[in-house]
Amino acid sequence: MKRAALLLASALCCTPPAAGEVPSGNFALAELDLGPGCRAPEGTWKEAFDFIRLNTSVEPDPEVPRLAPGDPRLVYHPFLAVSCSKAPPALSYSAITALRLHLSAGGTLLLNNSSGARGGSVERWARDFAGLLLPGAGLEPLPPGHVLFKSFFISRGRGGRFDLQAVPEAAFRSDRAAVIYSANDLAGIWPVSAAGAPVYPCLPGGEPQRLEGRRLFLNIVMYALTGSYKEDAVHQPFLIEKMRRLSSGETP
Amino acid sequence: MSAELGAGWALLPAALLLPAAAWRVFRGRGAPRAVVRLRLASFLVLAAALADPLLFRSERRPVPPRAAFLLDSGAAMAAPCGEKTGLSRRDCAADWFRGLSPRLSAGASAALFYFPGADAPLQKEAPSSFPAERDLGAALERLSSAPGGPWDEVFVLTSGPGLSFPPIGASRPGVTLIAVGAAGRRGLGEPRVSAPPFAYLHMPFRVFAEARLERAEAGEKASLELLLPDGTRVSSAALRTDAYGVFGATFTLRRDAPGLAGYRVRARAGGFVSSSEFRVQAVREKLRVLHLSGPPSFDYAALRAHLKSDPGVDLVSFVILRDPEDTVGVPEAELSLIPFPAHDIFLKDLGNFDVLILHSFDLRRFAIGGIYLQAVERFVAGGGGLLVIGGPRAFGSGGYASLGAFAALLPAEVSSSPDHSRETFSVVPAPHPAASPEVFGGPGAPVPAGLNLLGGPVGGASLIYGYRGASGASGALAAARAHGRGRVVALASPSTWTLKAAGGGRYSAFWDRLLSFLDGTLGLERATLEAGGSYPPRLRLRVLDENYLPLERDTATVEAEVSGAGGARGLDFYFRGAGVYEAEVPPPYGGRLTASARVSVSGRPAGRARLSFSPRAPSAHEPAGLASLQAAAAPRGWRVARMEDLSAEGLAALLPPAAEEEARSWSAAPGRSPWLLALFLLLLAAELSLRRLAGRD
Repeated sequence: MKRAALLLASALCCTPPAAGEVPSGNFALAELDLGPGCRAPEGTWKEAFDFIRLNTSVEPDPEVPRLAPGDPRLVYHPFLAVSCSKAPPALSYSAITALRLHLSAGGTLLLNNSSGARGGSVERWARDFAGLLLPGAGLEPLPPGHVLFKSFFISRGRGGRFDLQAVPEAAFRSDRAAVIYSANDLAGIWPVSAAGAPVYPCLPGGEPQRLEGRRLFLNIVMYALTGSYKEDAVHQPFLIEKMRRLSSGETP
Repeated sequence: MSAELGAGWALLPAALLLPAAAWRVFRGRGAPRAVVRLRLASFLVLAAALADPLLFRSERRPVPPRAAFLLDSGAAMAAPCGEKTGLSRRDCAADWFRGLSPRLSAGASAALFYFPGADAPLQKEAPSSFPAERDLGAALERLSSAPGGPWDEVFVLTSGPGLSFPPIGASRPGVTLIAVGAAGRRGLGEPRVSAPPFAYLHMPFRVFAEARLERAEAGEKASLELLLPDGTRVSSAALRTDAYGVFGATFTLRRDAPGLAGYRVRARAGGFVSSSEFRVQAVREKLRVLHLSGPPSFDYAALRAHLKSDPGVDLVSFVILRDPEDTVGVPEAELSLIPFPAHDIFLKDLGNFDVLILHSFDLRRFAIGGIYLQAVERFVAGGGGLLVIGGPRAFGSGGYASLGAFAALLPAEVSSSPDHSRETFSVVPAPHPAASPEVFGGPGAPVPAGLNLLGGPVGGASLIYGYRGASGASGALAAARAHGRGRVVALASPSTWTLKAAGGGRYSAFWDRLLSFLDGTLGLERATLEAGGSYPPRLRLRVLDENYLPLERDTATVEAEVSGAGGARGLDFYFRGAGVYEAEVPPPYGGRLTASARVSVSGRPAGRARLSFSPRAPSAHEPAGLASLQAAAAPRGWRVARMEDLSAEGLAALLPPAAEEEARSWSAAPGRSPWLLALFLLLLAAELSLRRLAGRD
């Protein structure tokens, strides 16, 4: 004990962030601050987090800071989201490098297109941006059997405020979808008015399309928090049976 | 008497032409006849010097055969020669040679050479003539140029085991293998065991054991038993001897705990009992990790991804995606959820894993009845590693303090009230094998946040990392303790994923070291003693530096001794590299010995190590590999004999008869005599004088 106390007394000096800057809970989301054209509608994250909290064991941190790409607090926010209605200006080299490091360390970036236009400036920007962040790995539609579609709900992937995209697209890093792009506006489905009614309609599918969008968003969060866990789940009975056989001396 | 020309036949015509030419030149010039004769005589003398004739007398003589004795000085020859002699086989063979040598020298010339043989003793320098020739082929080749040769017959004194022979096609003839220590009477040899040097944990491995009853009849009853060091019988086999007295069996074993495991094979036959020991290092083929997590989190995702990417880990992972109180307004069929198989996991399958990770896991849901938590306690006591990671539902915030047997496992003080804090904290690594001091230091070091405010290590536990929170709180960030044969580590913070963001391999370094400690690969001791299975016995001392890494250089001071039969005597350890020191145990070897070592590294105490062991010399009854010597000799055209069966006369009978050779008893070379030159000069002087007297120039 005495030794431990001495060791503690010689604690390294550092400059920790303020308590309010450190997220709580087991899921923290930060909005990437790319300018005035990229901001999720008011109330988006509160509703989204309520949905997550209601349905899962995840406790999202209600605070959603807007962080610039070079902000040192990015380290506490592996899940970044950016929702743009206009293409933002180009980022500096240092900003791109910081975001690359973030993704290579396990971070996930959700690019949400809220412009309602397919093939427009926001989509072109999203493709260029994904290419800059993950060189050589462009955005591609997620394959139908991808684990993201079963990370919590069995999702068809066709949801959001718009119906411009059959499934989200993603750019991969080491088999992990590190940048996920939705052209269907997964942010616009959440805001509600004071009366509790949705602020933005979902076209053309209405509420079922909204619900599907909500499920897809939750699946994206779960995918960021569990990776390919659901693929494991398929194999776990086999693994356990293999270990049983090994333990009983049988040839696996 | 015989004669030959020393200068060779080529010069003989020249020598004959010289006087002929002289006669031709001087004959017709009117010189006095006496002068001509003198000149001719002088040239004849010169011709005789040029021809260099050799005169000799020869006769035929008998030559005794030359015999070389090559004495194997390998480890097998250090075994006792007989029950009562107290000599090693090597010394026994040397004495045997010295005893026979005087009688042998009457009819043969004999010389003794040593060669090191296989696995020669470590420090004791054998009186070896060929110190570098460890195999027999090299020793025979070296012998061909040894003084006293060429050799008509080579006798190799060996007990057989460990000796490597030259290729059959390259073997010289005229070699007799003399088996040293071969039992000539009824007796049971030590069981020979063929076991793998290592075995994978949880995987069956096979061990073959056989023993030989000397002078046995075919079909005699025999048995082999496989025992643990404490005498517990693991397996046995009832057997019959074959025509050679040999009986053997294959045993199938399994190890469930890592490390070196000792076994004993006991043989019974013909009223004799003998035994031998062997060891198997149990290693993991793969580390089997069961990862149970509470709510999904970045920490869970990062650790799972790390473990999944490690080819040395078999990971089974469960994460609680939904609590019972969570309401999902969709049919179950639209959910990709499976029930958590708590019953199977805790009560059936836990024992098949090496490490259990409880990651921010709310145990209260599984504490009813206590059977699951008791299973966890049994898992650790049986050798498993348990890692408990903090979070909002763990430790004080998870009510761990009230979980009875589970709470008693934890190595740090746990609050009975919620203790999870989101504050940032600094980390202080402690001198512990599981700590990676470089991870939390240096530029770019992360400032982790969020932890359960654990107190210090409890009694018997050790600190791995300490924390100092922004609020001033301090305690154990990670602590460890042993429980039964297993280990428990408590990690207060679920924020090691920030190490990944900090880069530089910090995350891998942190987890690889912690898992190595949990699975028992890393020990707490900085100095450990091991006994090898060699004979003469050797001890191995492993020394780690203050960061629990093997010493790179010889910076340790070791004071060591061994005690037991023969009293206490010192041990001299020599640095062998990579933190390993070795010493040979000085004799005598009877009974149980206890070795102790006190180690200092760079002048600072590094610990003490102690080991009790029973060196077992090969039995005097052990068949000396006669059959193997015969098998090696036959294709090479060599002979095999037992040393104890060989007398001087018997040995002489193996030698070729004395050969006759022609030897010169007298010889002379008149052409090289200075008197011949003097005669030549005298003749020339006489010729000159006679010419002057005759008035001729």
